[in-house]
Amino acid sequence: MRTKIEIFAIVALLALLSAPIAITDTSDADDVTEDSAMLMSLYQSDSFYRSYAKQYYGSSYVNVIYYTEEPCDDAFVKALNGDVSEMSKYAKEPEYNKPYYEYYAGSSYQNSSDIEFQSPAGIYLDKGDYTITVTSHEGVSIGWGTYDTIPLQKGTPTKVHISSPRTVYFVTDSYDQYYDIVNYKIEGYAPTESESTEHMSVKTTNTWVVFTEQFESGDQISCSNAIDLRAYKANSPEDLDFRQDVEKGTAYVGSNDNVTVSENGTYNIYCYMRYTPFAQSYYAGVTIVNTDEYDYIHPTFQVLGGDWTTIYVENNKTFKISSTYDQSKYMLKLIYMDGLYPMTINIASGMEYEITMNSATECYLILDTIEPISSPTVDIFVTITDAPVPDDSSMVFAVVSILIGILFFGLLFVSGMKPRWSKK
Amino acid sequence: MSREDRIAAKVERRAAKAEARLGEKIEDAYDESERTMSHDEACRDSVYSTPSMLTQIGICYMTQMKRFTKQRTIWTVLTLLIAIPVLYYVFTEVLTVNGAPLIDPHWNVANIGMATVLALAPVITIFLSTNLCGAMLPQEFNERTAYLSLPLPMSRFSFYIGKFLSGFTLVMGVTAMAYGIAIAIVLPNSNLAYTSNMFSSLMTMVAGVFFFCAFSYMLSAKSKRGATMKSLLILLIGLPILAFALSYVFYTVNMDVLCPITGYFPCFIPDVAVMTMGTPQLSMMSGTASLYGMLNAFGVISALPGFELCTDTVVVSAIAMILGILCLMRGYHVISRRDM
Repeated sequence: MRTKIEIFAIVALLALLSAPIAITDTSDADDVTEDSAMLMSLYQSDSFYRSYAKQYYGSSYVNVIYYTEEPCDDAFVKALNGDVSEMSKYAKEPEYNKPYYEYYAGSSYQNSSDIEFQSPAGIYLDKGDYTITVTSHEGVSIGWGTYDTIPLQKGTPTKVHISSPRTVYFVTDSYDQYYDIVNYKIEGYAPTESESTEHMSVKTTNTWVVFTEQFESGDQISCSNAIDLRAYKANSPEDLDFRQDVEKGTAYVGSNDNVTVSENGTYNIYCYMRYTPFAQSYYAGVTIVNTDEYDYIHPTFQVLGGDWTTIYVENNKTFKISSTYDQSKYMLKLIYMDGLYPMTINIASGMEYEITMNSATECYLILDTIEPISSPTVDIFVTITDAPVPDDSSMVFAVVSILIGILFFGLLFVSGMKPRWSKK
Repeated sequence: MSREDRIAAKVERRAAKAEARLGEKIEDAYDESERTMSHDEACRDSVYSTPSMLTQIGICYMTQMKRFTKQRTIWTVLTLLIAIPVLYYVFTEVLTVNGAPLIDPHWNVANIGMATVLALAPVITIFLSTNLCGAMLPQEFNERTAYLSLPLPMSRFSFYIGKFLSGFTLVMGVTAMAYGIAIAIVLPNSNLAYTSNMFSSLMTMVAGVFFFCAFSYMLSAKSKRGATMKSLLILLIGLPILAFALSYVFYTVNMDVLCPITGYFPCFIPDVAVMTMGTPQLSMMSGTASLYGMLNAFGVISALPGFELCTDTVVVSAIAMILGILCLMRGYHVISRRDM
């Protein structure tokens, strides 16, 4: 009897001791793989430079002189030389959440620590030594302040010493070369546990949805929330071609509101929908032309997908998110459920957001497409800091928990046996 | 001839007979002097004392566990554990509300799924804790078994703690198994899991269980009929209402700085533990199955000025442990002075 108790105690101790080991996260090994970042333009002449597409959010920048909606470098050079007549035609008051060119100049730039690089696609490096290789461009430097840049030659590993933790950016000396993506490798760099900078395939809110139904000649089909609508007779050559294009992601998106069926038969209806992870249902209505009778032949169809880019955030903890993408085509949105209601946060390109949720929740990243596009996913660069990192230890945790429960139940069975520990 | 002499002579006759039968001399290990020793001299190498406190606690622990087997407790807890996957299947596949399942397993993160599966944890943990720990001591006195145990050279502290530990470990075991079953259920439907978050939630829940068991045990120390219903009502309804009322009063009298204290009441620990992983999502409402959860789902909590549920699991667990120890001390104070 006592031996069995001792065995149980040893098993319990081993289980409890192994639980922290099993649950401990293991950070990713330092892996030298090729990555990419946005390349920004840095033009240094005397004491000025310009940047592109900084999101103006109402805060003032002492060093900014002009905001313009289009590049006007010649006018800016003239303004620096005293002739502001041309520049004043381009200069505007910045509006909320619109991209602008900003032209800086002036002696206030002497203090380079005040200057903030506009490219958000930087890399946060801790103090230490790194070897950086740019593989896609010539004439690229890496920098972290106006006057602190290290030139990098294409294909040549370059040692870089970081004296204190900072964010570094890829810059080019070329006046015109900007908005490109530069490919690079870094050795000696490993993301901290709290930071994750990933190239994500984020789903766009637009997709083709198809349903099949029988119609009669003259039926007019419409679909609410659809950007474009097509109807092809099932298995006809046009139908097969279009389906192929949809599967490849190259189908042209128009702007049909409704389609009239020309003859009786079975039709495949293709609806180009805008939807989010929390969309519940969409309706397709059939209007019969002669009688104006509305008949909802497909009251609901499922438009939810299971592969949304997901971020898990903890209760009352702040995390940061930023991203670089073409804001003329998309708007990155963070969507989550607050109770029973979906909530949305717009993540503008180039801005870092600090977000605190009042309950642990899973959030989804979507790219809301401003114009209809065919691509179901787009690869963009997203940096997330101070969010929890997923791991693969949950099954181990489950097994350990169940074993602990079995252990305590085992004590019940053990105790039920005839006690022999009492001395006679 | 004295009695000792007669005994010695008898022994000699037996030894002689044996020697004659076996043909060899029997070496008697006893010398003559031992037959004339007093009782104290004969027992000089034996030590009699009460078992150590740990041994006594262990004996009481195992005895209480044995009582649980006879009370069908094990079947009750096993039924609750088996109900988890059964109810999950029923709510996701069978029961529907307006065409949609009661629980729609659409989550990508396992933690959210676990929070949904464990939505009933606040009620179940309090129910189990009060049932197991709120009836042990009154049962002992009602069935008179305490009158057999306590007069023995056994400390009342061992008796008290041993029984408490048995109830606490049983509820803790059920909680751990429930977490394990919840993970196993939701993992096939999930793409991501955050184990450290789950572990933090489990530890918080264990701290809450400790407090609930200690509180029920303390109330039962003086009770003659058991303190199950009383402690259940206090933990499920009384303490939360007190917290809401206090936050309202503090807010009204401009003592806002004290309002956050009400969010740290230990009755909310299961809600904190579950919501550390996520908010349970049911088709009709979201939130845990507790007074706080239901009021929060209907917007009452957000309308209540000043009240905010705590989010720091470490602090709330420490508060629960300290209060639990204080409850145990209070209960022991009652038991140690209780007349038989």
